[in-house]
Amino acid sequence: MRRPTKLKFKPLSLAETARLLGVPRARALKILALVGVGPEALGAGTLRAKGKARKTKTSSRGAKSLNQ
Amino acid sequence: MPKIQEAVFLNIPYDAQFTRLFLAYITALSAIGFLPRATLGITGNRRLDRIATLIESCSYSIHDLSRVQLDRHAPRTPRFNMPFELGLAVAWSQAHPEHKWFVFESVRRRLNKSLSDLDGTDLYIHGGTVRGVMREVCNAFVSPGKQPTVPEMMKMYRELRGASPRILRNAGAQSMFTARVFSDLCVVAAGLRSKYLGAD
Repeated sequence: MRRPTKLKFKPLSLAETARLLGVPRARALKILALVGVGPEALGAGTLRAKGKARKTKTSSRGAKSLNQ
Repeated sequence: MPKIQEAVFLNIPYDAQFTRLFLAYITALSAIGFLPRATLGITGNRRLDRIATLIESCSYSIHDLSRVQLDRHAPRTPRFNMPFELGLAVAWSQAHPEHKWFVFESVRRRLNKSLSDLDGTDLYIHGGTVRGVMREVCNAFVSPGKQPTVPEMMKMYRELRGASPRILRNAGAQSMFTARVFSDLCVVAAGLRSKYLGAD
């Protein structure tokens, strides 16, 4: 008799799948469009490796960072 | 290569006649929330080292032995790659029991004849069909959350298959069995999971 393997894992998100496969965001968006999956499914900028936010130039008036 | 809990090493033949089942495995594993991995997607010098590294980095492995048969071209030889890679996974699992391996076949009792060392092992007989692969993947794995149904997987499969010519064209490839096409198929299958199963 077969015994199914009970798994303890968290299903991968689409963004995490693309990141682990090394598929750049632009390419992922292009191929997902083939099956009618929009950019919202990938989230905003989720393919970027986690780390410090990029430094952005600010104007002399102290404009807000582009990351905000 | 870091170990990925959700990664499944897919030990399958890379030939055109296996294309439908290749897409079926990618669909079924993606529907559950796994990351399919194959030797197509890794780089390195010696193929054997790449395979060993890949097995070590995956928590699970699926070994499809349905096409271990004599090829058509002289000298006619059986295809040993899949059983050999199964042997590597079994050896790895003996030392690291957290690695689980599964054997898939298309014909019942054939493996008892060709590889009797596996007597007593649970086999997953898919009958050489797409639906059979999905059914048996569901039998092998029980996910902690909502389990996708076979009809849901079939919807995903049909859409993935429909998109595959354009994925090939975008990659400039003639064959499904290339690294880029494989990763693109996996991303599209994961996208179909969020589309049909509401995941993410």
